[in-house]
Amino acid sequence: MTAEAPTWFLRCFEIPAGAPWRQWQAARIEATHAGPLPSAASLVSVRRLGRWAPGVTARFAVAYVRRDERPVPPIETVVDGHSVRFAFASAAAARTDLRDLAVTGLYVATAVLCVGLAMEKALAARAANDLLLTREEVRARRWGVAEHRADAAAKDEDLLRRAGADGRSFADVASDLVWLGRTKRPSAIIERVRWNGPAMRVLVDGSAPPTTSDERALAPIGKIADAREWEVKRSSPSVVKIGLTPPRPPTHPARVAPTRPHVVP
Amino acid sequence: MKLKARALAGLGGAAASAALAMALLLILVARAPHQSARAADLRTSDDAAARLLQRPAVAASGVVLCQSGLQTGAAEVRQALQRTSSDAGLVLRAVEFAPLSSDLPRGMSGAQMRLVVNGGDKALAQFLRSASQARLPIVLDAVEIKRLGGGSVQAEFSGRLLCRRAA
Repeated sequence: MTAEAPTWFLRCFEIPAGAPWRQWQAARIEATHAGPLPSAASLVSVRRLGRWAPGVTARFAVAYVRRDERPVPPIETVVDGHSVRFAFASAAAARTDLRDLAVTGLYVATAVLCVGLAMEKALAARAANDLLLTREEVRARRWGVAEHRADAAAKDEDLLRRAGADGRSFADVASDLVWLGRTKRPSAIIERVRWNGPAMRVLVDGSAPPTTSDERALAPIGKIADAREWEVKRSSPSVVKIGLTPPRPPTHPARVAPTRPHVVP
Repeated sequence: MKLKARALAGLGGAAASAALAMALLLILVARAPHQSARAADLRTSDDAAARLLQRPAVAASGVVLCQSGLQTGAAEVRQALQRTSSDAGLVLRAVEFAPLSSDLPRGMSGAQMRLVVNGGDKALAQFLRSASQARLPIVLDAVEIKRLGGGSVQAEFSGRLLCRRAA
């Protein structure tokens, strides 16, 4: 059984000089709209006759077959001395092409989406790292300030010690007076208290010592009228321990994990 | 069959895209050079901080050095003593500063100070507590507290105002 040759129509026309794609566009329009059959009822195949050349009018040949005569095998003929092969795409083939195009498009879209999502995640992670690094840098700067202060305090203490400041602050005098008030003999009348050097001197009416405590060494050193002066050894100097206080981390709006950034060196 | 082949090819393409995306992620995040450099700086800073924390505490003498220069320091101390004695209920008889006769260690400057206050013994104790807490830049060389009668005492403080000399 052989396939019956389809009924087909051939037409030639010219398209003015222009860019090749412009000429093809014009040829398709001409073939579709100036055909012998309504475009919905026909399959159209357009072929250029001869090569494109700039500034030269192009000749095209168009073959028409009825749609109801599918499937249509290719038609080979000679037009203006050129051997031309007209091929007609069936609706099924067109659907397959369309489906292939859709699948390819889907894959391309998926790939673009993957890359886009990864980029978004990467940029977000980098921004979070930047924020975290900034926060840590602020903390590091505070450490620097704390270190500077600690150094300055240590130098100051060294200078003060060399200037003989140990045991000669208001706190030391207050401490001695508190001790004297706490341990004073109830009947003792203290006329004068002096600090000059390493000892405290207490002038008391009568010959009895000013305190009943044996916490500190006490010795009479002189007599003025009815009063006696006692030398009391001073307590150890008042000291304050000054250490380094870790600076507080800066408070930032959330969104940053409270850990160091995971950065590969 | 053709469609299956295309599907397989598409899956391969998607896997390749995901691999490319991961590579981009690594390039953009993990290998960001400026962030690596900043992180390295922070590690150095952390080491310094750890060393600082291990540093032993300094025993301070209860006196601080004034940092603002001798004249400003004297004015500040005068003001602090006036306020402290007034708050305690003492009468400030004298607060005087004079050039220092003795030498000081290098890096320091100082002035002689004399302070005389009158008042009750409880007021004097309050004054001493407040002056202790204020940690004034004053080293007391001599103090004399004597009874005046009527429950009143007079305290005379001689000392040195000590300041850090600007380098």
